[in-house]
Amino acid sequence: MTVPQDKSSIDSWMLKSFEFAEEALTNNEVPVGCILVWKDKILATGRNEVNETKNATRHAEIVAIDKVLEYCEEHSEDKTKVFSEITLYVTVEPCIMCAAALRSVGVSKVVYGCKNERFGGCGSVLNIHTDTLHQLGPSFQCVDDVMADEAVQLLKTFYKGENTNAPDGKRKIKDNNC
Amino acid sequence: MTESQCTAVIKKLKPDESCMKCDSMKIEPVLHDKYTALVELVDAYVCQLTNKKRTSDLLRFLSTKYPLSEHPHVKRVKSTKSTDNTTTVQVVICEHSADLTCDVIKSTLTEFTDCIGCIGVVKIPSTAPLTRKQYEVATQYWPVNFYENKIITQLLTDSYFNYDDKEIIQQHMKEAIDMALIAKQKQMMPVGAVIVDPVTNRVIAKCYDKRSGTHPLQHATMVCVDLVAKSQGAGMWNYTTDDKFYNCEMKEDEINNDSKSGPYLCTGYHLYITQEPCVMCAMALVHSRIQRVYYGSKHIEGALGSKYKIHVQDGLNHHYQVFNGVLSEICDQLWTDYG
Ligand SMILES: [Zn+2]
Ligand SMILES: [Zn+2]
Repeated sequence: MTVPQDKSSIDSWMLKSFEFAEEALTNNEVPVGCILVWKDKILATGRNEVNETKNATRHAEIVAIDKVLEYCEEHSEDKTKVFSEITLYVTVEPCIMCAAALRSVGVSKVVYGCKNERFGGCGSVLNIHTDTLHQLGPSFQCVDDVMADEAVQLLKTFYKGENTNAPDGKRKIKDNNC
Repeated sequence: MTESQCTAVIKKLKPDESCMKCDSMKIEPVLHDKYTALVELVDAYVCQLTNKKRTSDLLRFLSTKYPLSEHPHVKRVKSTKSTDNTTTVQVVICEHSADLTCDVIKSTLTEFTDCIGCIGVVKIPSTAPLTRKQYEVATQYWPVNFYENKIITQLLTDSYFNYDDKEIIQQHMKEAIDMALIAKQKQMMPVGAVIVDPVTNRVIAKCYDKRSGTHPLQHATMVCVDLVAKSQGAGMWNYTTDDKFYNCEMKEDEINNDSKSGPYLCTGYHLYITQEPCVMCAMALVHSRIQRVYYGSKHIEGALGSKYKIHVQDGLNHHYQVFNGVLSEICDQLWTDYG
């Protein structure tokens, strides 16, 4: 693994991501938070905003990518170059969608906390980070299991209460297996 | 673009209008691989039954001693009538395994030595057949139970949609093609998308792919899902009137979250899109709980049949139906002289 920081600085960046995961929890969102670090500084932060936006794709990573795009626009930076130099710290393994989004903008390094057994795109359900997908974008490396227990604890706290935004009859969607 | 303009462009794209005829219109289901898989076989020990009066005794004994719990679809007994009208009855004892020899099995069947012949090994289907075709192949080896899924049968025999259904599907795909044509005029990727409530046929949102603009994540599907959120009074991205996107506006009582019937994400909706979605978009549709997707052209890295089948991916908590080939010739031609 060639993530350039030593263990203690990885932990301290991850600790920062937890602030946003906790903010998500306070707002009744799935508690996942992230930061995008560029040139040793936090360039963008994100947390789940699914209920707030009524858009199920509003994951922490997508929120943070949006902020980087805005930053690049404002500061006339080359977004492809910026993304390629960024490290993402996210409390939970990126889902299949976010892993693909990270590839399509060209993020090359990802550090995450716990596994995402339900939707994970970096090893749990699929290997979107390393699969052969030339048109989508470059593959990326992952460092996992950074403060994983804390991330799991937060998720457990959330799932003990239910997502109150889903109408009763729609919380359990019957699988259509064809 | 008006309806007639669209038709004119389509005519230009495809002077031979045969593909526009509903009865010749291809709509192909993209099913889980298990429905087209070859029948897998495993070896099993069988014996011939020489005294049929003891069939039920033997079966009762086998069901406790050698339950077929791994292969519940397999019938224990196979009767074969030969040309001289005599019937041979064979019984499955258990799945073959290296550490279970014929002699060991014989030693457990001592109370039946008077009614069974020698023990042999045959091939039996290892999983339950899911389609009539698999059933027909499986029974060539050994009798199995088959519970026919009517919808799967209709899908496989092209009888799921009637003429009217196909006409409606074609109309919505034409709307998606219209959006792709707007994109093309704007030097964007010619991919258009429409989300429809199939109960009322109301168009909820329509847009095209904007990834080649300022935002690399604004694939047609991502934008369309966001326009659905906008129709419910929320959303994540801003658009201008110049984009020529559309979303309906739900009334306050329609979007009330306390209502059990109010819209929730894309639950119950159908997406029409001119090109097969990528893996990001396919997963966005899982999160959004879409009910069904129709697409035109395939894409080499597409995630709804080509590279992945995200809509029926094992391990995911929501699955959706996918059909491809809808007006695919026209969707393909949208790409000629692009870029
Ligand atoms: Zn995600
Ligand atoms: Zn896409």
